[in-house]
Amino acid sequence: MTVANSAAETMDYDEVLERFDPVMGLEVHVELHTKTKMFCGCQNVFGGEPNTHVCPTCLGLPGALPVLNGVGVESAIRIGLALNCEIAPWCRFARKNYFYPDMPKNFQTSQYDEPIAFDGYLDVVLDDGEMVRVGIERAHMEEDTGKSLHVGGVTGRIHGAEHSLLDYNRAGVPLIEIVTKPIEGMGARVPEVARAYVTALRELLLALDVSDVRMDQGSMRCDANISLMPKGTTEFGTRTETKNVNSLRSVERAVRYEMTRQAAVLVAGGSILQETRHFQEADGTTSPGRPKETSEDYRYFPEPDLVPIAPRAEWIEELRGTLPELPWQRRKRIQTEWNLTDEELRDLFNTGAADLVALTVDAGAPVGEARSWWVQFLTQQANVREIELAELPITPVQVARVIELIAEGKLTNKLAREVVQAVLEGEGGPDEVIAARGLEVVSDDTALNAAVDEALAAQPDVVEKIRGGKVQAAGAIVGAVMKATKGQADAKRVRELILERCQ
Amino acid sequence: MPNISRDEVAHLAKLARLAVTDAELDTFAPQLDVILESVAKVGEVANGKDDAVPPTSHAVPLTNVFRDDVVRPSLTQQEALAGAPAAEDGRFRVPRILGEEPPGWSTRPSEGGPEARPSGRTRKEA
Repeated sequence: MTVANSAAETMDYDEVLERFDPVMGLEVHVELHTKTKMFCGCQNVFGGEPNTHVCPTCLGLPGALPVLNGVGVESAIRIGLALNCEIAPWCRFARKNYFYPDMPKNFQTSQYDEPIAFDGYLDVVLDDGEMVRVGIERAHMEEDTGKSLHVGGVTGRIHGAEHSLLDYNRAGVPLIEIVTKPIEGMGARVPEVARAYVTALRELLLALDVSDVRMDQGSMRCDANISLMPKGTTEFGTRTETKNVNSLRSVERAVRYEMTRQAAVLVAGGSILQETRHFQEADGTTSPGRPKETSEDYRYFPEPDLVPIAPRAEWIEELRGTLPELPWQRRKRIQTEWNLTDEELRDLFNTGAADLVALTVDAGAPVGEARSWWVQFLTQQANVREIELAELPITPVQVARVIELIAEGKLTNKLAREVVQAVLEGEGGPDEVIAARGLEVVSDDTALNAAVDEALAAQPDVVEKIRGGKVQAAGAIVGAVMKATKGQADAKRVRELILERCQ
Repeated sequence: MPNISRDEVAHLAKLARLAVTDAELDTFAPQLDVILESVAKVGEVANGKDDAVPPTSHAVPLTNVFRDDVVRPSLTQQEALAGAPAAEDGRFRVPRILGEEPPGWSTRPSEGGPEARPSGRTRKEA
C-alpha cells in the first residue's frame, strides 16, 4: 500500500474545520455469542478446524431449510431496547443477492426495510465529560459470512492470488448490524465521538452479555461513513465508507484521516467518489476499494423460507425486564454512592478501575483508599508493564488487605507500596510478602526505644537544639531511626518518642 | 410504463454473472419489457387506493417460528467437502476472485482488505 502521502493529499486538520462541517454515520457489526448459528444448529465458536461447524443449511445445499434461532431474536430485541429503540411489531428477513464465494447460498439472509429495532439513541461521554446523544437509525439481524484465504498472492490478499480457499465455519453466525443516524454539528470532535460511540456500544453489549465484542477477533467491526459539507451549506456531501477499522484507536484515526483527505480533494476542485475505502493500520491512511453498490443491485426480496417475526408486547416487556444495569446508569449510581466529582468519575472509568475498585470495596476497603490505589499507583504499574489494569497480577482482595494493614498501622504507605510491588512480582499475597521480607512496621515501642536512644546518644548536639525549643531539629533523629529500622518504623510514633525523651 | 433500457439489461446480466452478447441484449431488452408490462398490470388491479392489497410474501399465516439454541451435530469436514469440485487444506477451493470483493460488511483483522484497486467501472447510483 502507498505509504507516502504528500501534503497535497491531505489538508491540515484545523483548516478542514474552518472550511467544512463533517457528517458521520457509523455501522457496527456484532457477532452474537449464541451457542448455535442463526439458522441452523451448528456450533457458533471462533476458529476450529475448517469446515467442521457446517451443515447442509449453512453450506446452502439444495433443499436445506433455515430455522431461526430464538435466542438470536431475543438478543436482537434486548440490544434494541438497550439502545432505546422501537421494536417492530412485525418484520421479516430478506435475501440480499450477490455472487461471492464467502456466502455459499449466493445470498445473505438479512433484514432490509423492516429492521427488528429502529429509531433509538445512545448517550456517549467524551473525554472531557461532555455527553453526546448519538441517534440510532436501526439495528437488524443478519448472518456472518465464511472466511476466505487467498492463495498465491502477496500477504494473503486477493490481488495476485491464484485461487481462494473457503472455510464456512463462520457462515451463518448471528450478526446484528447497528446503524447510527447522521452525526452532525460535532466539528473537530467527530473522530473522538466515533471512538467514544464505539467504546460505549462495546460496554453496552458487554453488559448485555450478548457478544464477546472482540474487535481483534472480528466479533465487533466498525465501518465509518464520512462526508464533508462546505461551511454555511446544509446539503450532505458525497460520503465514503471506511472499512477494516479493527480497534478503538483505529476508529478515531480513520475518521480523522478521511476528513483531511476529502477536504484536500474538494479544495483542489475534485469530487468525492462514493466508494468503500480500506483503513491501513500501518500508516493510518485509507485507500480506495470498490465503488459503492446501490441497494437495488442486491435485488432484495422477502425471505420465503423464514416466516415473519411478530414479537408480542408482553414478550418485549419480559425482555426489557432482563436488561442489566446499563453502563451509564451504573456510572450515575457510582458517582452518587461514592460521592465523586465528574473528574474523579472520569479517571475511574478511563483507567478501567471501576470494577476493580467496586470489588475492593466489597472486600472491605473504604472507597477513597481503594480508588486511590487503583487509579494512581496500580494504574502507573499497569502502564509501566504496558498491560491493562485488570491484567495486573493482584486481586482486589489483596489490595483490600494492604489497605487494612495500613489502617491497622502495620504498614506505612511506603512499605505498602513495596508489598504491592512484590505481589506484582509474583512473590505471593501481601501477608506472605510481609512474612518473607520481614516488612512489618516496627510498632513495638521497646524495639523503637532502643533505636531512638541510640540515635539520640549519637547526636547530642541535636538533642540540645530540641531541648532549646527547635522542635523541627527532631527530623534528623527521625531520619536516623528510620535508617536503623530499614524504614519499617512508623515515623510519627518515632517522632513522639523523641520529643518525650527531650522534654 | 416499464421501459427497460439496453444498459439496464446489461447491468442485470452482469449482476447475474451472465455473459450476454450485444445481439442478445438487443433481443432481451424488448422481451423483458413485455414481461414487465404484463406484471405491471397486477399493480393496476391491486393498488387501488381504497382496496390496496398488501404484497404476499408467505402463503401460510404463521409468525415466530423459532428454534431452541441447542447444538446439533454438524457434518464432518470430509462430508462437507464431499460434493466440492475442488478442495485443499480442508477448505473449498474456488477460482481466484478478481475485480470484486464481498459487498455488505467489514473485512476482518485476520484477512486483510482486498488490494486497493481504483476501478474505472462506474455504476448507476440511485
